[in-house]
Amino acid sequence: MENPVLRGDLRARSGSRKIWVLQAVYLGMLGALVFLGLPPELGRFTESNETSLYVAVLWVQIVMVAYFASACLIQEIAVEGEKAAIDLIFAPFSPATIVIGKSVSSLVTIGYWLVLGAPLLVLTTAIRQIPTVSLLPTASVIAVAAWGIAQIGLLYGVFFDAEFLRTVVHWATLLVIFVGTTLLPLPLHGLNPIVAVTDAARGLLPAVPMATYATIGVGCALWTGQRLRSLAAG
Amino acid sequence: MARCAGPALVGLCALWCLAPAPPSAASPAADGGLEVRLGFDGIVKLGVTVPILVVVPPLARSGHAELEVDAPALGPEIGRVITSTIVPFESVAGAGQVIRAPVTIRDPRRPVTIRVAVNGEPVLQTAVAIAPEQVGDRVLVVLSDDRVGLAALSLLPGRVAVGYVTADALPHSFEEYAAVDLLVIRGLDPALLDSAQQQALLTWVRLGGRLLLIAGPGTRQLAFLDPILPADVGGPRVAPPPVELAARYGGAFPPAPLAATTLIPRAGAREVLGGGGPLIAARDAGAGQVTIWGFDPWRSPVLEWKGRLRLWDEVLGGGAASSIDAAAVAEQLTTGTPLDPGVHAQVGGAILLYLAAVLGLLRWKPTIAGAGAAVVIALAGLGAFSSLAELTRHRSATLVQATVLGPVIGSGEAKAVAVAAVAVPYGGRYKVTVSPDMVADPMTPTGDLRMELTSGGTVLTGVLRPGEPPRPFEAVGAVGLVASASLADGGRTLSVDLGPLRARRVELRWRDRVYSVGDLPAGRTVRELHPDGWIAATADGRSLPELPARVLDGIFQGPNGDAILNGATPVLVGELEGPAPVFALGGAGAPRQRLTILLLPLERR
Repeated sequence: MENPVLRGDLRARSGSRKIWVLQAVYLGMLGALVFLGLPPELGRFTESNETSLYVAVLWVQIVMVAYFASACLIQEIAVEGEKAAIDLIFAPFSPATIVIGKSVSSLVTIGYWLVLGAPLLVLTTAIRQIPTVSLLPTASVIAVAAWGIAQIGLLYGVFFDAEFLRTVVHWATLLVIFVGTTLLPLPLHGLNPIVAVTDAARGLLPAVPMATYATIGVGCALWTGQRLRSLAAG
Repeated sequence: MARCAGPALVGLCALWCLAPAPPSAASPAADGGLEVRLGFDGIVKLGVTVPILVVVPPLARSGHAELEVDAPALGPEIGRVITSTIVPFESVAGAGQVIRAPVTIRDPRRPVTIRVAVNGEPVLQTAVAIAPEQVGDRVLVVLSDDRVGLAALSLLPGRVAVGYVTADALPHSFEEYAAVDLLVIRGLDPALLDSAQQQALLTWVRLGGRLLLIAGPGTRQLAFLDPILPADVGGPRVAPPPVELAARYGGAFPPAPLAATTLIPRAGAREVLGGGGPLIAARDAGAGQVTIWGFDPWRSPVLEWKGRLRLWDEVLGGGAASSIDAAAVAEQLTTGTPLDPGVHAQVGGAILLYLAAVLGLLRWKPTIAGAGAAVVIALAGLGAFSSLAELTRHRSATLVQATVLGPVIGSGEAKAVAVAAVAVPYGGRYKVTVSPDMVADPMTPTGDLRMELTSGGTVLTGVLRPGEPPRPFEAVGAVGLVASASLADGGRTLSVDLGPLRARRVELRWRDRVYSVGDLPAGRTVRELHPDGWIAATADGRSLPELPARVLDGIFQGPNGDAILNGATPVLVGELEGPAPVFALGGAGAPRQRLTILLLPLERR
């Protein structure tokens, strides 16, 4: 970890009580869902019902991971000891170091949360004889989509100074992504992260949504870097 | 469920009867070296167990061999649905084998396939098609040298099918008589029946079968049937035209003398007089009935008598409507197959333990190293939760069974009808073993069921998909049980003898009334009955545990419930303690629920 921003963020997040509470809420919700969904659906055995609990857990997972990741980057959830990207422009770090550090720390955090939730997902899938390898594509979709959404938060963090405005725009963006995309016609409908992860759970690799969110993530990172450079120069 | 499939079966039968006959011959078949005798002279009844006898010719190889009988069935699944019955045997090179097995035909449009494999390699195969005229709703089996003469019975109501058999074709277990409505024995040499066949025949009659003996001139007495015969057979006589028969059954009797056999009715026998003496004697034998005709219906002048059809109709009977409807009981079992609460506790505990370990570690060591350790816990959790999921799948498999025992007074035997529902809630393979003295059958045919007949019992294996409803099975057999119950003093005194067994929550049921007797100890018990103790069966305040209540609903509110409740006397019903379960589910830790119901008609004294 040669990137000081990445190192600092990971150290701050691993020691943060707020992040601990977030993790407790995240794992508690997944655990409760898995436990409450334990009874099998007797008398209903269509393909869609076989995976219903598994898919429901994935839905909860992508919503929570995407929100927590973006909220941390936009400082809506202020992690103790973690500095916002805009606060780091006066530190001796280049904008590229800041953006890469923030982006990678967000990706690592998302992966870490997915790993922590994996045993609960395995319990759900193995009990219904769903192959465990099917977790890999769904985890990939969640990771890419949540990272892309988190990068939007990173961008907003350097564009909007007012905290209230940042929060409003952040929530509006989340609504557009999670609700507004459901109104899109096919195949754009698949840009909805919940639809994308459902497709992945059914064995279809949603390449277009993954590419879209990866592009959004990279684009936001580039734009954030440009903004940081202009702020530092100005 | 089978009851729901009834109209479908009837409809299928009607459609199939219009179809052209299948090209291949019916049983016996000798194609492919296998000789097959299906049913009774090829006669079968849809959805009811019939015997199949396969003569395996001398094989070239020795080793472990299997006979597989694939019987097509109508099922909920689209495509081919086949129930496979497997009979393992040891093949000895150069030696032939005769193998018997029970089989149930549910779809006569497709042939029954019989295969023989030695050491896993198929060596012989044949198929037996079933012609429309081989399927009957009322099946009459005739043991006679004359293989014709009853064609006119096709005029009787219902779809009457007549099969002519030889002594060696008679079943070796009473369950294989299930399809037979009337067995006619005409001129049988008793030496041709082995002891198992004799016992099977005797048990079948006592448990509800109908037997007609033709006492023609020179007929030899069947000593093993002596305990249930309605009359002794005397010498031959020549009777004048029996106008009494014509008056009773219609049709003018031909004006010719009748070669008859003297019948000497025994106590309790019903007799029909004609031509100067008893020509027909009948008596109940347990739940069944034995009739002797002192004349030969295959010979003139009876053959010319039109009233003989009504006589045959009477002796053929209308089926055993007072027996338990297994489908109705199965419906009650499958509605509430529970999931083991221990499974919930186990999974809940594991989830809490995992959360506590991860969050506790992160709270105790809030560093990057602590997060790394949490990842290690999560990776260990992947393996642990996979194992827990597998364990949960096994433990969630359940078997619920109810056995209804109907003792036959004076015989020391009881008919046992056992119904079980096996549930694999998350899907997977199941293995159920049925007692060796019972004949098992699936109630919802599926294509993946394998029934292996072993010395340790019938082993049923199959697969249930996730969320698929519990799969019901039925097993029928006879068990030794000495029990009796009677009412005396005008219905004020109940006397019950349960032998070595005890019974709980005993009730008397009659029509829409119920009398609670309570628990009964082993041995003989006498209770005074109070007339005001009879209450409406639907009255509030009667509290039965869930499973007994549901099973009793299945018995008394099923299609045959009225026939059971509206008999001449009340029936005694209670939960028996002691009898061994009929079905056993493979797999350690699988929870089980079982119930044994005693259903005993009262005698009046």
